[in-house]
Amino acid sequence: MLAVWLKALHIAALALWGGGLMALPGLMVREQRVTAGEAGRLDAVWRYRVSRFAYDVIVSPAAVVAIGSGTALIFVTRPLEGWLFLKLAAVAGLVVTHMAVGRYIDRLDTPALRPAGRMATALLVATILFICVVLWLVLQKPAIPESLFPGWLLEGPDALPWPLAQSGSSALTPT
Amino acid sequence: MNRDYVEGLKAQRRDIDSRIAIAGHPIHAMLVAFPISGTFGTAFCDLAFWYTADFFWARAALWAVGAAFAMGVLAAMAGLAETLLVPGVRRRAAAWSHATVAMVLLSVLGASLALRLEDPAAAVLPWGAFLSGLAMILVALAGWHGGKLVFEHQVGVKADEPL
Repeated sequence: MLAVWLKALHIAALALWGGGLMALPGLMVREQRVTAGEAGRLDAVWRYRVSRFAYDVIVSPAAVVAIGSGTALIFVTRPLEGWLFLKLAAVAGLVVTHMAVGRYIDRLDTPALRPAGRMATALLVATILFICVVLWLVLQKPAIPESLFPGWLLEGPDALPWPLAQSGSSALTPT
Repeated sequence: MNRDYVEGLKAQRRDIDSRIAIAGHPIHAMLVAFPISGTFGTAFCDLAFWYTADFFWARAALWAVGAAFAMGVLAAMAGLAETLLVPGVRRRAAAWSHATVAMVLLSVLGASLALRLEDPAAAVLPWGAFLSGLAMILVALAGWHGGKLVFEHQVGVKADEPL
């Protein structure tokens, strides 16, 4: 029962987080043609306020709730397999994108420092990419064979292509 | 100097004063040393286990990651309270960057702990070591932004006189 409520909270929060991260680049992008006069000024102020509010009050707290409830779910449902660990790496990528959006959010009041169209597109593409990777890993739950890892990582220093030290003579190893 | 101006600067500073503190020392800053060192300690234990294949290091890694996660949760609660109580913190993207990356770090530490609890030795290679590497990157990012909040935005810096 706890798992169901946690999962509901997790999915609700990550929907807000992902959706917000997809909307923000378009909201904060530097405009090619600035609307002239008072209407343009009001439009700029409106976009600044909406971006700032969305980031500080909705998207970032949703990210914290999504990740926190996800961590609780790890202990409740124990899905301790390769796909989960790769998913955590993909979530880390999404967080780095979130941080990049945040850098622009803090500079929104200087229109020249807003992200150019190409940068906003890159942020949007990165967001969609990481979300797709996460969804694929979570829904497909692919088995990750250990053979994908290099032999030296699985078998220790003796499997290194070059000798690290004379094994067996080290004071570090128990006899 | 104009008295209103000085009062205004003082109010601006109180905007980012720590609320969760003992005698002016922010508790969050005191607690974060533990998950940071626990993350490094876990990575070191994994490296030592890889090198020696001694079960001692697998068990040491389990304790290290357990301590890192438990103290990290406490640090997160203190940090969350500051975020909710101090308006000048939650209006800064650096604070949210720090919060989100620290939450992912906790998630990685939690997964690492849960995995190692099942079988400490079998957990290390390859996935325990993978999670330790990921945690090292995340702790660096979280530490960078946490430092930025203090050194650049002066969050939690006690200054009675306006700077």
